[in-house]
Order: sequence, then structure tokens, then C-alpha cells
Amino acid sequence: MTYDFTRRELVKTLGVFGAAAALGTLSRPSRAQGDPIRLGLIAPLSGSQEIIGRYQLAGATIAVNQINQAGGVLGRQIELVTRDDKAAPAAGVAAAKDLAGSGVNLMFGILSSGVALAVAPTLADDKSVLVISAASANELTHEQFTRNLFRTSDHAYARQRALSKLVLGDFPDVLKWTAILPQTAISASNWDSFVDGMSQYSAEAGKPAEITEALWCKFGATDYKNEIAQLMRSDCEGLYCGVYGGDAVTMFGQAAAYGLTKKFKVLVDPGSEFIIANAMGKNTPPGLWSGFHWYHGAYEGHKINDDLYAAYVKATNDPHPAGYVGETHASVLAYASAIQKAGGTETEQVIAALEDLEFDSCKGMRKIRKEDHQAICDLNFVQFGPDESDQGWKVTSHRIIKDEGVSEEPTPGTPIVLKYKKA
Amino acid sequence: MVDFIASPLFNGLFTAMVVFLFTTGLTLIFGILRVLNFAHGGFFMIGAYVAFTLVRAVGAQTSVLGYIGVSIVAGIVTGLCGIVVERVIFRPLQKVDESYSLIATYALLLITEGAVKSIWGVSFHSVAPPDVMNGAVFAGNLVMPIYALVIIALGVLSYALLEWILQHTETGKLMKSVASDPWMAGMLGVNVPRFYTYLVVAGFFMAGVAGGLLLPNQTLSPNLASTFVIQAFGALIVGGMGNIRGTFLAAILLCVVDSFGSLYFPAVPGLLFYIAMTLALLFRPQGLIAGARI
Repeated sequence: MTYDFTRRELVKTLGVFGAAAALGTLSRPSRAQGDPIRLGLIAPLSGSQEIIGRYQLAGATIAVNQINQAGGVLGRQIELVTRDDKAAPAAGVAAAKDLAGSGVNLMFGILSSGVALAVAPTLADDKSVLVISAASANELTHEQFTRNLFRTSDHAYARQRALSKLVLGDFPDVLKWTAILPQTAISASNWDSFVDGMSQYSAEAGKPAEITEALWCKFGATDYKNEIAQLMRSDCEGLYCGVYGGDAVTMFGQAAAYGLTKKFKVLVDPGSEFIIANAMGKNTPPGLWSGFHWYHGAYEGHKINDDLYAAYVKATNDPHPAGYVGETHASVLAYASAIQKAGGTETEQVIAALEDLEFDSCKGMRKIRKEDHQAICDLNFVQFGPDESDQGWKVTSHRIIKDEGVSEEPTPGTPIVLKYKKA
Repeated sequence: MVDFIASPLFNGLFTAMVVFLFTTGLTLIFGILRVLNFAHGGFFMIGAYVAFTLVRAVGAQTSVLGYIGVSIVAGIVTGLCGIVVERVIFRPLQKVDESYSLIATYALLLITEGAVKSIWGVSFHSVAPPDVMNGAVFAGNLVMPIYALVIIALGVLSYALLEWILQHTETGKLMKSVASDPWMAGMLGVNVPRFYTYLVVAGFFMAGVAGGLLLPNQTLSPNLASTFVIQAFGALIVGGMGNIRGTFLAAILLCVVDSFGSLYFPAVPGLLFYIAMTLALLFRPQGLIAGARI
């Protein structure tokens, strides 16, 4: 059987989150303890990315509840205030402005890089702080850098280079790579970062990789057969599938008749997490490696991880939390640490405290770099395959890549430099 | 030759039949009722979800008969929805300007999306074709998935059946007469309101059947309703606004051109679809098949 956000338990449990979100606040604390610290979650709570927004809301809610049950921060409870960005830039800016206007100066969340890039320039004028929990565009800590924005999750450059490091380690002879990518800026950024890592690590191993030009397709396409036919003619052995989420499910479903997954020796996906396996069950592409924001199974025995996982499963009955749960959870923990360190919630105080902050999270210690406000953290990957269980798929392997030289040097205000990718 | 002509031609034809199957109910309702049903995709989606539920209940799709049977059941469910929609929404729309139908049916689309989220949730789902349709036919370098061949055949058969009904049966002549002048048809003894109900049920039935038939081709999610909207309305408009033959030809024209475009101009996927649509409207503003409804 598959566990998903469709069953009655989830409607009941996350329905509670959703109903509270509709009213705008969650986890409202007792006023007897003084004014609560209000944190604003901006997430896609409706529209095409609602499924991700629900994960973000779940992670944030669990973190707030855990902190409040432990006595709060500076003796004050935390109150979660939610706004829906619909994964649309205009709605995201409106949500951030609305929060700022309501006196909520500390915000976090945001899934879409487009939304984050639109919100970033508004923060300084509104005297707000935004901690990004998922959007991975490199630009946010480079040319679009603003001192009011931090990112506690990994970014495209680090994750895709780590992915290239992983596959080169496991498949050192698979050196001819191609990609299928939707026409989005983040896909181009992901692929460029993967190629940069592949070029560097393969050259260091003495076997330079050959990268074939990527195939581009329409974002949200309904048919991939032309692209699949072209991939079948390719002489590459490794396929980077940048088509994401539900579109990837459509593509792999259509590719089955062509034998695409058997043609390539290695299949990688930048970050669909459980989506493909959950949707495809027994038809899950065997051996598919997927990037994860956080994979709970990789940190068993780490208290924050175990407590978060237990709370999530208790609330939803879903044993497969997406990494987004862990990332909003981590952002709340970052704020709690920073507020504790700063001794207050004023914007300048919190910015100063977040810079160089080291804090523990569901995937271990993270350190926010002072220069570009990017967190240096573990990079998680999971390999899937079909099996005969009711669920239809299983995790065949998982890996943690430590960010030791994977991320670039901080250069806020200037575009990222791909040192190894040939133009 | 095969790689650069036959393959995109085949893939374009497949997409055309997908779009045609999606659009038939929409065309029929617009051709006669002049209601531009934005909610059509919503009922296509409900049909797909009903089919998915039935498939999951029996474990997997194993036979072609089961696949078609499940699709017909999905069509019956959406057809029943059509009775309610006709009474509550479409009938009042007959008395007001056509533009009101856009707002009303868009609201209905939102309702269908909300209903799907409430019943089936927001997760993605996928269903494989029946085992016998899972392979492919190889003709040299040309790969033709059996499922795609079945959909092309079903698309052509559906068109032929509709053409036969419209051109050679009493029902077809009745449909044409009501489409042409409902007042006169009423004067001659046709129960026009009841006829409209039957028509809407038929249109919704087609949407549901298409949802079931195309289930293995798409990912199921509450966004499915809007997946084919651009292609469907493109085919409807270029075809002549409510003409089955025109829609069939327009779907082939637009989708085949788009398929070649994705191969030869991969940096701008989808662009040729819009260029073809623009050119068609510039040179045939009345549509490919003009003058006759349905």
C-alpha cells in the first residue's frame, strides 16, 4: 500500500493544520506567559504545490509545538502565523508584505525560487528577516544577496555537485552523461551545478566525463515521447532527469514502453524525493537516485531526527515524511537559537545572531556562513527500487554527503562561478 | 528519415488523439448549447480518479476489456454529474449572455478541483497500462508503444462514430436541427430542454471515458483538470468553434506541428503550437470547418 496525503487520517490531522492555516495562526500560546514570539511561515498552501506546502506546514507546526512544550524561547511561547504564497511570486510578495504589516518581522519557508527571488528585495525596506527553508536558487546567496535573507536548507550548487560526487564514487566508469530538463531557471542551474561537479571530480579521478547537450522540454508537458525517443538514441550511460515531481512520474510512465530505464546504467533526479516512488509503486524506475532535503532514515539515533519523525508519523500516519518537513523544522530551530542568542526579536538583533550561527537539526549540525548567509549542511540522497511489497517500492540505499568542499566559496553580490564546467 | 520524420509524426498523431478524445465532449456541448465549458477538464479529471479507484480496487489493469470497462464506468459517473450540472448551471445559463458561462463554468472547475482534493487528496498517482498494452512495436528505429497505437485507434474510431451519428442517423439530424435553431426545433415538437439534458450527459460521459482511457498516460493530481486546457481550446477554436470534424483536423494539425517543433526547436518547446494556431486563425479566422455547428 502507499502512504500518502490522501487518506482519512491525513485529512483529519493535516486538516487541523489547514484549518488553522486558513485562520492565519497556529499553535497560539497562552497569553499568561507574556507576548508570544510570532514567526511567519510563507508556503504554498493552495495551488499546484499544495502538497509540498502541507509538508512545510507540518514541519513548522511540530517544531513550534516541541519548543513551546519545552518552555518556549526566552520564557516566551512561539506563535506560528501562516500565509499562502501559492508558489507564485506576486502572491509571495503580498504574503511577506502582509506579515510585515501585521508586525511579524521574522519569516521563513518558501518553496519556489521564483517566489524567494521576488520577496528578497522587499525585506530590507520592510525591516524583515526571511529564512529560506527550501528554495534552492544559487542567486539568493549571490547576485540577489540581501543581508535580511538567510538559507538554512541546501542550495542547488551544493546538492547537485554532491550528487555528481556520489554517482562517480558508485559508478566510476559511467562517464557519458545527458539530461532531460524542463525549461525553468532552476533546472538550468541544477544541471550546470551537476556538470560542474562531474567535470571536477571525474578529472580529479583521471577519467574526464563526457557531457552531451541536455534535452529541453516544456515545463508541465503532457507528452515526452519525442524526448524519450531522442534519449533512446543517445550513447550516454547516465541520465540526469531534471523533470520534477508529477511531471517526472508522467515521463517515466511514458518511458516504460521504450525501455528507457533499462537503457541507462544510472538514473538520477535532483529532488523529487518520495514523489516518484509513491506514485509509481511497482513501476518505480529501478536504481533511481533522488536528492533529498532530509531523509529521516539516514539519521536514526539522532534525537532531533527521531523526535521529529515520531511526531510526524503520529500526526499523519504517513511513514515517509518529505524532506520539506525537516527543513521548516530546522528553520524554526534556527530562529529559536538565534533569538536565544540575541536576547530579543528585533530584526537587527536576529540578523546578527543568525550570522555564523551553528545549530543542531534533524540532519545534524548546520552552520550559517556570515558572508553569504548560506547554511553548510549535509546533503542527503536516496536510491529507490521496485519490490513485491504492498507499497510496491523500497529504499535500496541512502547516502549522506558531507559538505566538505562541495559548496562554493561565499561571494555575495556576484554571480556564482562554475570553475570546472566548460562553457 | 525515421528519427526525424516518422517518429515525430507518430508522436504528434498520438498527442492529437489524446487531445481529440479530451475535447469531444467540450466540442459537442459548445456546438449545440454555446456554453464554453471551462469545467470540462474537471470532469475529465473526476473520470480519471474514478477509473484509478476502480483499478486500485482490483489491484491492477490486466486486460483491454477491463481497461475499457473501467473507462465506461468512469464515464457513467461523470454523466450522472452532468444531469445535476445541466439542471443547476447550464439551464440557467441558456437565458443569459454567453460570457456568463465562462465565469460559471470556471467556478465549477474550482469546485471539481476542491472535490477531488477532499476525496482523493493532493498526492500524485500513476497507473500503468494493461499488461497487454505495456510493450512496443518496433519498425526499424521507430518505436510505437502499443498503448499509443490503441489510443490512436480509439481516437479515429471515436471520430468515425461521431461523424456517422451526426451525418447518418436521426439523432444526428436532430442534434443539427437543435444546434441550428432550437426555437424552430421546439415548434416542430422536439423537447429541447430534455434534449439539452441528454446532450450534456453525453458530453460529460465522454469527458469521463476520456479520463479513464488516458489515465495511464498522465500523472493523477488535482492539477490534471487544467493539463489539456490549452491544447483543447486551441483545437476547438482552430477547428471552427464547436465542429467535431474541425476539432479532429485541428488537433492533428496543431499537435503534429508541435511535435516537429519539439524535435527541431528544442530550445523553445511548445512555441510552434502557438505559431500554428496564430497562422490558422489569420488565414482561416472562421475555423478549419466553418459554417456548420457540430
